[in-house]
Amino acid sequence: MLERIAAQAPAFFSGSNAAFLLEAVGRTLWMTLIGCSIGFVLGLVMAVLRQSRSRATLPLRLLAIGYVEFFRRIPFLVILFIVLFAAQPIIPEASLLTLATIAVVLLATAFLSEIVRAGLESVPRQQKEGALALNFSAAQTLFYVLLPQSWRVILPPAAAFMVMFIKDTSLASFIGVAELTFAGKMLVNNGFSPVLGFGTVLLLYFLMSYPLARLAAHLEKRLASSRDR
Amino acid sequence: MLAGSVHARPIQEIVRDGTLKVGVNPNFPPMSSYGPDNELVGFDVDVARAIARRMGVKLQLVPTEAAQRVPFLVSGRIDMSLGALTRTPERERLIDYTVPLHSEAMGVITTARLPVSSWEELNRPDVTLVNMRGNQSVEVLKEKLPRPQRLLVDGNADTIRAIAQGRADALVENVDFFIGFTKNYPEVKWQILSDPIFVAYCAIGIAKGNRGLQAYLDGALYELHSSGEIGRLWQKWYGAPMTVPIRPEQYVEAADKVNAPMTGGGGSGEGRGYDFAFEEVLDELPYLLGGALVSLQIAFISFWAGSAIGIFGAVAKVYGGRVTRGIADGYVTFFTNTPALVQIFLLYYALPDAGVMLSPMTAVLLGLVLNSGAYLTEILRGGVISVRRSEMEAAVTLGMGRRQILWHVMLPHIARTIYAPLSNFFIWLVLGSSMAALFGVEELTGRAINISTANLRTIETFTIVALIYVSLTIVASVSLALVGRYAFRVKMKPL
Repeated sequence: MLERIAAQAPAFFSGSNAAFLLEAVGRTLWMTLIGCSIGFVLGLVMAVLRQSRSRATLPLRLLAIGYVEFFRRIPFLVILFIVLFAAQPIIPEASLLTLATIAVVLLATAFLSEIVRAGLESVPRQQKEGALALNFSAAQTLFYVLLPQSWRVILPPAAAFMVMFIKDTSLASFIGVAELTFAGKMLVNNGFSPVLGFGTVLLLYFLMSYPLARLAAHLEKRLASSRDR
Repeated sequence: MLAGSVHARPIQEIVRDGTLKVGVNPNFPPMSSYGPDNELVGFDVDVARAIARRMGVKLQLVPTEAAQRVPFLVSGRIDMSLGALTRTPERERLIDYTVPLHSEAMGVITTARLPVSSWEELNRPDVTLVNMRGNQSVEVLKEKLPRPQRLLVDGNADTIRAIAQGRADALVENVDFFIGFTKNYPEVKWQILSDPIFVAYCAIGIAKGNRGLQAYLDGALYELHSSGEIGRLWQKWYGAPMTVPIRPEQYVEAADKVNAPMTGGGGSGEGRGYDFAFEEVLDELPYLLGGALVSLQIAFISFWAGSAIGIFGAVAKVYGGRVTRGIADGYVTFFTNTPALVQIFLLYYALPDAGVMLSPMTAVLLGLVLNSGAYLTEILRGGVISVRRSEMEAAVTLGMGRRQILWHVMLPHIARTIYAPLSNFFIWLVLGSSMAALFGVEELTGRAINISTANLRTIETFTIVALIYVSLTIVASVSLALVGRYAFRVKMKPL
């Protein structure tokens, strides 16, 4: 086994393979970053919606609750399949990468809206009552009272979620998105040793995930201490 | 939510847009695969190029795995599908075909390990046949060779790898398509039995009712066959003529259409709308629910075996010396920062090279257990450090023994801290077990893939499977919350 790896190493670490793997890394990061960012915005909207108590938004609130409960309870792989086959008649021009990113958005919206909601609910009730007493509008309460006090609670778990998702996008290889895991599979299918192919892919994932995970942990510590101050 | 209408482009629109979208398999040499420059090359690619050239349009190759061919045509993602699409009645309901492009003669690829001289001798229960999901031969073989065990994999390369690594004994398929991969394993004594079991014909697939394109392609194939172009391309990529040649009468009917004008040709090209057919999937509900049980088993085993590792890990991280702590840290850091999927790939595909062979189920379980161990180490550590020093000191002052401290002071604290994260982690495992499907384990998602590649009702199948997952995890969440409330006095919202 070791001889095989040694014999293949020069051919494996060629310029074209390196470029191919780097492109794949780019797609992995793209899916995570774009998918989670859009998911965060949508999740924020959904969480804010669920804070409202007016009767007019009741159907929307129920819809949001149903959405969150549904998408948090099905595997990413199944979401990928449903998006792949259901979204096509609507947007036949979309690339596989786009479809996978849509799947990320669907899932990230559900999880991030829960994270945002927990953040908004962490603000003491008296703050809201104070805003009400000062005759703040709903938007003013949100932007001047709730969000400034809750982003410290929201940001650390939201960042951790995004870092976690880097790994989950590996499932998109199955529907044919040429991301990092797909690239590894292709190199192995072309005859390279699985240790070399998948080992390199594993290392690349680690290099993406570890520094970001450290950053997220650092963020959590800093924000937590500033909150206690 | 889903529009029923499907957009298949009529030939006029393809010509106006100037691009023909052709589905080819990305992992199917010499039919089509990524060459040394990571560009698609092969027989299918050359055929697609010849057709696009004749049509006077640019060619856009869309990587299409075997199981995606029909859904991609139905949805209009591709105008035509190559990739050795065999004509079958199930597919005929959803798509249309041209005249044959090439034949497909089923033979046997096996190794010297299995001393057989004809395909009938494979009909033994101690033989494992490997095959690809979505291939028409899967169903044919159930009839012709009912007794062997079966291993379903997802790519052409995976079939040959499975035989080389000893997971399966033989592949009954079109020998031409798979023989290319055997050169990846020069140390294996390959054996080919090429007496054809039966012959099928592969055609170009197009969306249902796209008559104009069909007539045009029939004509194009007539020309490519009779000019000898297809024969030349086959010889170029396969190094031999087609085992069973296409007979002229199979495409002579196309001769009339050879000059079919591009703009006419009849048929609007609008495929008939997609009709949802949930009944077909509901018939399979018992099979799917059986798969859900397998998913739960995977989650249970991973959870409890992972907890055992997690206890050691947590104790090592909190009370361990420098070395033990370092090992536990390294383990957790590695496994929580890399995808479980790739870890299992490595266990499943690389360990056989070192002489350790894991079944798909074992590989998935091992991967998930190691992963759970890492995450549970962190959760349990959080529990251990939740016990405050002052409480421990108070217990010592009160004269409590070690066992009493553990039982009355530490454990209640730990249980209350970790109960909610543990419950969430279990739900995560139920969902995460779906990964096993990618290794051919027949749990819920795996069975869904099996069903949908046979009945081609992908959307319906996965919608029902999604609902099964939702119900399963809601039941699990509610029961875990109730147990938590009454046994550990943990306030948890059930949803």
